[in-house]
Amino acid sequence: MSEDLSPAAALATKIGSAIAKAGMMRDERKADLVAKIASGEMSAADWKTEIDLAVEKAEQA
Amino acid sequence: MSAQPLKSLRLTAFRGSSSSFELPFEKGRRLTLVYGENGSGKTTICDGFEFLAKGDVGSLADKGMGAGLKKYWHSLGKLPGDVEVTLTHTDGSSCTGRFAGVNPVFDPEENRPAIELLRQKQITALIEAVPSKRYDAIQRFVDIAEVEKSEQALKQARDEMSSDLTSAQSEESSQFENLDDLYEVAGKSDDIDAITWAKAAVAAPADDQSAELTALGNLVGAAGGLEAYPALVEQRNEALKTAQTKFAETEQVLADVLESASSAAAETVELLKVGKDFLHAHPDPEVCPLCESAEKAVGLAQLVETRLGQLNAVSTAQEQHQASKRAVQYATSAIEELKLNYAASRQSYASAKADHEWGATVQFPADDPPEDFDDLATWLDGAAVFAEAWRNREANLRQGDQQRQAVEKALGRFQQAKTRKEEAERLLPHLEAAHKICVETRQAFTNAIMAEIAGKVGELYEKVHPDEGLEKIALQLDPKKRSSVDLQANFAGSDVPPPAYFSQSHLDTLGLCVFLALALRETPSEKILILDDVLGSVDEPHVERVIGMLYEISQEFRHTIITTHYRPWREKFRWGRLRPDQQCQFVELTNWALDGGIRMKSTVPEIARLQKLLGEEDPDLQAICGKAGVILEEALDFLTLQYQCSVPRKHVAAFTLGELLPAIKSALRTALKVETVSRDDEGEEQIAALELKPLLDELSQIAQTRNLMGAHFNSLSFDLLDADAMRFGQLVEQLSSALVCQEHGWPNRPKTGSYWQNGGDTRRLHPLQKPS
Repeated sequence: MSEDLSPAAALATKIGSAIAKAGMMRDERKADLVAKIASGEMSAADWKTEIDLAVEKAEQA
Repeated sequence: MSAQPLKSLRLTAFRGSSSSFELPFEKGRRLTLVYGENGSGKTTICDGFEFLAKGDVGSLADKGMGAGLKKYWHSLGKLPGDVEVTLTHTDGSSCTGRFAGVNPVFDPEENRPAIELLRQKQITALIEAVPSKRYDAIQRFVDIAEVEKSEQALKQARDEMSSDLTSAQSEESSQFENLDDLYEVAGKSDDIDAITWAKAAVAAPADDQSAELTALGNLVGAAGGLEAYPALVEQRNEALKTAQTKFAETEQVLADVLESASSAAAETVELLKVGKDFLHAHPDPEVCPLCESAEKAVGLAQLVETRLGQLNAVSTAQEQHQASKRAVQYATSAIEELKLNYAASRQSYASAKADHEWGATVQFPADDPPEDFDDLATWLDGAAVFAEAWRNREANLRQGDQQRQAVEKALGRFQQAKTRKEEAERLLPHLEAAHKICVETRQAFTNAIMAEIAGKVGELYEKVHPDEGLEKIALQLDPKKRSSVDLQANFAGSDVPPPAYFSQSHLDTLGLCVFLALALRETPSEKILILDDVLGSVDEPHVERVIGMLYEISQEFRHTIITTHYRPWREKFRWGRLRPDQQCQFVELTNWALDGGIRMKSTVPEIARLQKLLGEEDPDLQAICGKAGVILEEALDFLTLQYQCSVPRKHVAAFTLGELLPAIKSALRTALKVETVSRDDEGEEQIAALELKPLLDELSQIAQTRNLMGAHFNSLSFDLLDADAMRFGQLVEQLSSALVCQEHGWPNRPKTGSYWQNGGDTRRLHPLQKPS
């Protein structure tokens, strides 16, 4: 276990990476969103918006 | 928080340290063993660390003394203000805890130590706790509540999208049915579906019908305007007729009055009225305006008024006649005005008819309304059927417009629902996938942590109970219960809760392993591990392994302090048999007293004691022989065991020097060699070798010295020289110092495959096998 990250931060990082890898989170937004996931500030609207935009970006690529 | 090595802990007026007690920590030794009988002050030392680290003294808790335990933190007979606990580090920094009023304060705050403290009473708490309490202990390692909030938000997003999809599908279906119904009304065709029809209907220009609708509105209005005239004509003709009748009547009345009055009455009245008007304008004439006589000018106005009164009937008849005449004129004008209005209405009708290009659906009467409105009623009778058709056509068009609006609205809703549905169908799978990733990642994360902890517990437990720990301890978060941890252990092939089948000794060991596994997860190198008398219930066969495990694990902490009242531990240290894997500091506490508080005494190894006896100016030969004899027995016991030498079989394995020395036969004696390994200032290995045969041979010759001078009163000792006793002691000291390292113990490990070595590789004993 990393000594630098809290369990929440470590888990949020893993979740962020997995979702970004699946094309549902934009790389450029990952750091901010991981912080929001870790702090419990990610709302339903945030998730919808990010997944929508990330999927759109992936579809356009 | 400091991570510096510890130099000392000073306790003043704190708990059992009624005066001032200082525990010095030996430089370079990160493990301190504190041995003492019950009541010697071991727990007070642990309390001192807890006081500095947590501002608390946990040893007093759960003893039925209620709250407000701070009043017991200072020593009996002392005051809170006397308390001072100071931990000093090797770099000179320190942290001191005192009382400021009723609360402890620490200076400096940043030097307060971090500790992991386990007391005997807590050892099985985690094992025997309910799952939720167990979760509390490990919560800090799996506290992901905030992430779970975010995960919940994602679930909400997924559920909302799913709900939106259902709603959009329902709306789309509903609006399709509406459009289909409208299509049915409009005349459904098999060629196109309702949506295609609706799109075409909505796309068709709407201006054509609205223009006709406007024109029809004008036409119906104009026609309606004409329909009012027959009644108005009749009404106004009747009014004229009435006025004319009245006029004729007043004219006859006036003639009759004039005839009865005088032939000139009418003219006279007219003349008098003119005169009255003149005199009203010129009230005081100097002469009569008619005859210019001055004498008749006085009272002329009064005279005219009197004469007019006399001719009043004539006047009334004249006024009524004039009024009836004006009534006839008014009625005649009204008819003329009606004719003008009628002409305008005819023009409106003509305009409404001419201003639009009517289709075949709108028909008109052959003639326009007649110029003479007296003929209008007849025309209206003929036009009534057309006017009815115009009104029906207008109503139909208005209804058609409403239907078009209904189609447009339904189509709009249908398309909106379709767009929403498509958007939800696009996003929902991704939201579901993201949520699945969240859940699976979280579960894998927590399971991994739990598995790591359980694995570490098993690894530690395995060191104490071989074949009982690895992969046999499991910690699991209960997925059905929030914040709940199940602990399972494999017992005789079945997964069971440990308290159900484990012995108390096994439970204690497991509790210790769980505590250590958790303590190891969080920066152990910054923490002081304190185990306060936790070996009490560990049974003898396992205590050696527990101690070994604690030795190993202490390496990972900033410092480790283990207190015990387990006497064999002290004896093993004195005889160099305490698991000799690393250097440790051994501290022995002696009897506590109220006035003196905690007292410490030196625990000197037996060899050091012998060395001390040999170094005395006036040596005690009996003591030297006695001590050397015991140490030699220990050394020979080690060698005969190590090489499986034959000794007489006895009920109790207590052998004498006379039995042990001959057991080391010539071939083995010749091969026995000890290498003492050290390192010079450059770190280079330095080896000093010592053949044991000469020592053992000489000891065999003078072994009797032990009995003659060191064990019993014996007159034969009179014949021995003091030098013999000294020689015996020196040979034993030389042999034992070669065999045993005070820091790392006996060479009893065959790891190299070439010789026996001790834990620190400071002693190498050859050969590995007894020569045949």
